[in-house]
Amino acid sequence: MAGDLWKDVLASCRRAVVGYVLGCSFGILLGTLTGRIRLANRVLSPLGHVLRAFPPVAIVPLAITWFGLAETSKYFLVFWGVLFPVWIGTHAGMSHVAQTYVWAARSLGAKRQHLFAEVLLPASLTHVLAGMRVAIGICFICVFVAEMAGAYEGIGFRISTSYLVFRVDRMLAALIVLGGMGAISDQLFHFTTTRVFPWTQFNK
Amino acid sequence: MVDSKPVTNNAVGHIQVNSLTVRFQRAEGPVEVLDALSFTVLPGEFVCLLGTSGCGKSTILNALAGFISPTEGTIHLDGRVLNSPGPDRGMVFQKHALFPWMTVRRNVEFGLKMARISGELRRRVGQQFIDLVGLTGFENRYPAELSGGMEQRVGLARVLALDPLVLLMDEPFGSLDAQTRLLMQELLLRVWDETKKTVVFVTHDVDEAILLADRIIVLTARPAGIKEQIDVCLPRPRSSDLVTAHEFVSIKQHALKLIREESDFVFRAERG
Repeated sequence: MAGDLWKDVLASCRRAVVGYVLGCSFGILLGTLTGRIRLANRVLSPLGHVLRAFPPVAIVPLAITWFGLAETSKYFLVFWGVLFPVWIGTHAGMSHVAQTYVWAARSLGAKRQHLFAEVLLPASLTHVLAGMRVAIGICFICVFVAEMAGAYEGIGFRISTSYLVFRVDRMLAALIVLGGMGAISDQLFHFTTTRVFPWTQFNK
Repeated sequence: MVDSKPVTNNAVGHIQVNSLTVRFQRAEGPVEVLDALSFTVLPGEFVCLLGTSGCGKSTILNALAGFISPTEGTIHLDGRVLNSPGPDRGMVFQKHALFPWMTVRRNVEFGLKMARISGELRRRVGQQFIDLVGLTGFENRYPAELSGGMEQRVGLARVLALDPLVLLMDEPFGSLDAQTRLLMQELLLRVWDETKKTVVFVTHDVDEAILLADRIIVLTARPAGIKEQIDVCLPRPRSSDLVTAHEFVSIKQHALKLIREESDFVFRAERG
């Protein structure tokens, strides 16, 4: 049993990490486009807001139909849940980057292709990180939902199978592990980002 | 005064502005900010653009920096038409222009990094200019940990590190307290004396303009045109003690009269 639980934790973590990284990457890309390019904002933002309104739980049957019962559908579901808060955060940051920063960088010799990494992303980082932190919570919800419906390992799978045999003790144990994973990830994220980017903590 | 033919000598920081007109498209229609403005700034000259707030002084600098394109007219630097930003013109902004995500050192080294200067050389040049503006020991601080005066010194070091032909300064000391402002003005004069760069300095402070400039271009209210040019023939090096000197006061009286006429005009216009 103990060995099984670790296997489940590992499987859930893998899904969380893969989906989270994919969702964050696309969310930042999308947010940069809609936040900085007027045409992209006109075209993509309304579409994004419509898609955002679909709850991840409602996507499960569709995800399984499209991507099957293997890992791809799990990754997709987590990706879907993570994408939107990261997009919204990035968009908010990108659309409010002070013009002075861009001008200063350009007059100091920065080319257009340098602006994203050197100016736009760091200037919107507090917003991006806020979106990414919200996404951590959603990420674990999506892992759980994905595993409830058609998985063979993972914490969500463990909870649903324990429920079928009324093993409340196992359900509680798995639930505590799931909650712990979410809480630890969140704190780890906060701890790491405040140390890697100390300037995000300044009030000026 | 105005030289319509661009000179073609070497890179020395000779600015020629010809019939510069800038119109912005606003919801209520086009707004003319600059109206056929022409002036020349000689190599190594320190020129102050003096005008009431909102007259379009900053727009002139933004056009010189290449941030905005002239609607009509041209700007030449050493005979070359300017139409985009570049490290040959260093811009010191009024405030909030340092990158808050970079330490003092990385801010100062930013332009060098963009010029693909790396390693030991970048570090050494950066340090040289951090030392020049008196920020030795603050290399690893973030802008949010600095006072307003220190921030502006970083802003100055950041552009000087690229050895620009021209310094463009947009009310750089406007948000500092009076004492710090005096110290910064003296620091700038010292730096200018050492580097002999062409400076275009925008201000609405008459004292500041007289203390710093070789020549003051007094601007009219919007759309900005040239009201009068005042040559400031005060001996250098100058210090803040100068403000009580007889020559200083007489220039000040004249400049204040000109500014007063423009602000009265704006005031009456605003009241309908």
